[in-house]
Amino acid sequence: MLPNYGFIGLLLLAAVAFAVAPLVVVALVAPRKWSVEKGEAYECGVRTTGETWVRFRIQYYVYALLFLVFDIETIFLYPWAVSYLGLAEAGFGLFVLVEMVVFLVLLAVALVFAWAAGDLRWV
Amino acid sequence: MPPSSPPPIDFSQLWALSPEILLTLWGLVLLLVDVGPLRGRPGSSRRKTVGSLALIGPIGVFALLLAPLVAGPGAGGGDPDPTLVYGTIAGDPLATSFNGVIALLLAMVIGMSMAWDFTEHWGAYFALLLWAAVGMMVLVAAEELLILFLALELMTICLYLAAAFEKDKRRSAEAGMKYFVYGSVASALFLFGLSLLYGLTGTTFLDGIRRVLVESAAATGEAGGLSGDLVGATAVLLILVGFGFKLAAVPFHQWAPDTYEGAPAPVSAWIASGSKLASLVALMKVLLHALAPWAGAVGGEAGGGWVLIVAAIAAATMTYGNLAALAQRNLKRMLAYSSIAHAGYMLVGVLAAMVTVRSGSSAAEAAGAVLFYLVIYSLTTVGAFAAAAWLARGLGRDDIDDLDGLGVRSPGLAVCLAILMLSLIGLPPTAGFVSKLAMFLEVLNADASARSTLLLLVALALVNSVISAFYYARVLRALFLRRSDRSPGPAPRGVSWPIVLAALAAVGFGLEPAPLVDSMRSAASAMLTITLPPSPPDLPAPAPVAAIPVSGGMAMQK
Amino acid sequence: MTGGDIPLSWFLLFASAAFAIGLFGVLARRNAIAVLMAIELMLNAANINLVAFWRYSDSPGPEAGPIAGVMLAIFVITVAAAEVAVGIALILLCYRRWHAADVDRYDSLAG
Repeated sequence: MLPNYGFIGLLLLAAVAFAVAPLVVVALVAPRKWSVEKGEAYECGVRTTGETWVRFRIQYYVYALLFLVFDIETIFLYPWAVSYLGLAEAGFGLFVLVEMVVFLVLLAVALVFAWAAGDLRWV
Repeated sequence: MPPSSPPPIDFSQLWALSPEILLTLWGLVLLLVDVGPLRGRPGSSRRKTVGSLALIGPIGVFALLLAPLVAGPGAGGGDPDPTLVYGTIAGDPLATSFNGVIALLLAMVIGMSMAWDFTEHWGAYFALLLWAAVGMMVLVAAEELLILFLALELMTICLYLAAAFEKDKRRSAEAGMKYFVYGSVASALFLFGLSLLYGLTGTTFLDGIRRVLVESAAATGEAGGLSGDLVGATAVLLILVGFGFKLAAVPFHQWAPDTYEGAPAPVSAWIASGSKLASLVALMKVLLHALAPWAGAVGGEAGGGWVLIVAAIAAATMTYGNLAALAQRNLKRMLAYSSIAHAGYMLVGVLAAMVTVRSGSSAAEAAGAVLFYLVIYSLTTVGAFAAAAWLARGLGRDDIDDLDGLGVRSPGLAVCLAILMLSLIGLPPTAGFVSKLAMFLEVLNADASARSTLLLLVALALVNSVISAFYYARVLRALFLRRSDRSPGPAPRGVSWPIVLAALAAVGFGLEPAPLVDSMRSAASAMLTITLPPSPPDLPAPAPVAAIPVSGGMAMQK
Repeated sequence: MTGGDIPLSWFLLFASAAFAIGLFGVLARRNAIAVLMAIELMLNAANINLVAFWRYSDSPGPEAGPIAGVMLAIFVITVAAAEVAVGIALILLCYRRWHAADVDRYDSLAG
């Protein structure tokens, strides 16, 4: 038991060292020159204009909706998963499984509709 | 904790729910057909194709409902089970007959929708109409408060969206928005009342609530009513507010005129007929069955209950609705106030049913009379809204003045519309007269102690009917006495057959009401006598929780 | 006492307060988004009630049936999500028509 945990602790140390080492090396070695471009929030591609604190475009709304559909799905999946073993022992396994598949297929149709209606294309 | 032996899963119950399942799946098919095979076709061609496909939905429901009759008893799962799915949904004559009525109304609404191009998204629009119908069907059949709430939400959420479907019209978006704000606040109030009721009785089943209330009334020795029970009174009040919004009863009616005027005519028709029909049936189930022990006395000495509240709402609703309708120039807005007034009449009928339920005599007759009135009202209203769809198609507007001269141009349909108006007033020989008469006559069967209050309400209703004749007559005057250069043109088929069908129903059931009255009566008696399944289903029980003494002055009944 | 030491009435008072705040928000706020948030608050107040009543109830009697309060709450969360989705869609539609998110501004229908 203990050696196993010791191994994990060793791994943890190694991981931390691996992450910290470059930072230390950079801090020691790298030259420091300040310029305006470096201070910008966005450093490649098109130059940023205006503030970063802008409103999100309305197109995000559809994505948020689709996220919501599958977010709420987990509310039902979770209690289903918790009670599945008990119900399977009682002889309901297949029935309950089919029920959940029907539910998931209905939700998948929503995604297919949004896809086919072109709502997933970026405008 | 798995049960020792699995309870039998009765797949024949799915047969009883087949109308709902069919419409749900068919809505999905419409959705996908519109964005799949029909993609890129112009809007008007998709309107015709998807609309015709949508009509298969209600026709399929008729086929499913008629199949057991044709095949004889024994087909399709034997005797109809009074309760399905552990007692949460009724499969009684009430549910079956109202499935038929809702399917008929749905077909008429789909027909009207095919009259003109008010949107581009036809698949989504027709799917929403079908799913709203599913909500109505489940609402009519619900025997449990959670199912009832979910069905209510399914119905209204679909209708919020459908109301906002008319493109290029500001008023349609506004109609949807107002309907949404008022409707969702009403749902929240209803839900809070539901949660209190669940806390007080420990159950959400309508029959279970009734049993607990009867037991506790027997234990305390009170005759019923709500005096002193603050939490119970709050729960009943919140539930009444929730239903009041859905029925557009004064003072919860503000959304109705704006929504009916702004929404496309078929959607207004669907809200005025189907939504009101299903909500009123659910209201009757909750009040007459579950909350009957809390009714309180009507004209008697003490014991405030919901009866007095409903009486006040009924009086205010019919009076306000009729007076406000007098001032309207828009046809749909006038029909909105008319539908408010009719909700008031029906609440009087519900009261009469409650009083007779308590006295034990002829309970099913009184409740059946309300259901009969409800069906007749729904059919005639959809027919009247079809006229608005006709005007919107031909002229792009729907004022009463736009009906001018139609008596000369399309005499057949104008006569049908006139019949519908006479039925809405309640003049013989139409069904509107018979149903109003039947409903108000039941008041005379009520026991003597309550009769004075009820007679007062009926007198008010009769005065209101006379007032209502004035604004319905304005439609008749526009049809037959006025001339106009502008004409909406000949009516498309989708508009003409709902009008003709509604007029035929108004005359037919006016001359020969017996079949419908009888079926509504048996539906009502099924509604009033439904009980929980005898033994609780053997399912994994929720985690057992020990009793906690409740502090803070709230005594839980269980 | 499996429900902990907090009495049921505290939950009920909290839920009632949340419900009242929500109702006040619906009546007093003009911004459509704020109205939507207030409606959510009312629905969730009812949820607290349902779960609290379920947690503190006796073992269910024969009339209780198989549906427990927590199950109700799960379905109510779903309904609330659906209402938000529909509500935001309608608000966006109105915003495009009026360029305003104030419910008072939507007044083309009146009378």
